[in-house]
Amino acid sequence: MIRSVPMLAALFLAGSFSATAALGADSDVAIKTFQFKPTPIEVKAGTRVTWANADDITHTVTSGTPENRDGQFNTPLPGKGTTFSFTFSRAGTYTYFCDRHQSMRGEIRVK
Amino acid sequence: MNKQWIRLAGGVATVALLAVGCSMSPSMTHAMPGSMAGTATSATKAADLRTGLNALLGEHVYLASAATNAALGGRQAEFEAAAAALDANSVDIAKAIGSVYGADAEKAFLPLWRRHIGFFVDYTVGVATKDKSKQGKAVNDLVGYTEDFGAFLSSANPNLPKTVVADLVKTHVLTLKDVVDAQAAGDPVKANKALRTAYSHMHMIADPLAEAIVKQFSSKYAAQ
Ligand SMILES: [Cu+2]
Repeated sequence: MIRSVPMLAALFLAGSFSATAALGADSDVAIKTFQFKPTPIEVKAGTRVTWANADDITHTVTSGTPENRDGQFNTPLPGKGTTFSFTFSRAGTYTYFCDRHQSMRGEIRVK
Repeated sequence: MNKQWIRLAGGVATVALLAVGCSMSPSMTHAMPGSMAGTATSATKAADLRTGLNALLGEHVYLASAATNAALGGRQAEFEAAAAALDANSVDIAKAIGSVYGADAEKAFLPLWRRHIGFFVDYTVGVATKDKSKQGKAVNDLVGYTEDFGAFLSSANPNLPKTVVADLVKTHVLTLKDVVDAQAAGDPVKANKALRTAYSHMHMIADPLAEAIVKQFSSKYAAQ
């Protein structure tokens, strides 16, 4: 199976970027009109979450909160159509925000 | 630090507080689009929307000018009252957005809108303290902000091109800056002339905004 290599990669590089269809399900979060939607979302461990910017402006997907950045990811999405994916390998509650508009907040609950 | 500046700084802190957390003010339902009964026979929902947005945005300029004038004059109580009224107006503008685009959009809009008021506070402080670099940073922040504001409205409504909205808001920023500059220079004639210009420019934002919303939700705003 052609997919097995990236699947293995996703298994062992848990919590890293994944370029192809990842282990488990995929989940999408839209960034539209300065909001992350839907939020919060509940996903299974191993789910790759993809954020897609629908606004004509740069937003970021930054892990943690503005007061307490955890450094897991901090990716600018410079305009409409740009995306960022991250695979959540471990159970837990992950908050994130936009660094340019810090009232924009989101949450992923990994089971 | 002179006494006046201490008072101004206190007022600025008040605005900063207002900008981060504010309870809902008693809403000015008369100015709220979508929540008015058609009392006059000539009233339509579209006309209500247009007049409502014009009233709210005109009020924004007037109250901002009242706040900066009081701050620059070191009149603390007057400043605080104007700043509180200005924030109540911001809440109402966000509610107007919410009445069209929903509670989540309202929640996203309010901090964005308050942000430009914060930058204006920075500018006013920069002028009061003759701090050119603070003024320059505030102007840059304001100009950058217009892009964000344009992006928000164009995302909410495809009939509002981002660059057009950004340019209109840029003019708003510059016309209000003229008011603050004249106030700071102690030129009331110029300040009030500039205030008229800034005030009347808000129609240039309110009218196309109302028109674009009516176009987007034509059945909701159809003449009845
Ligand atoms: Cu953002």
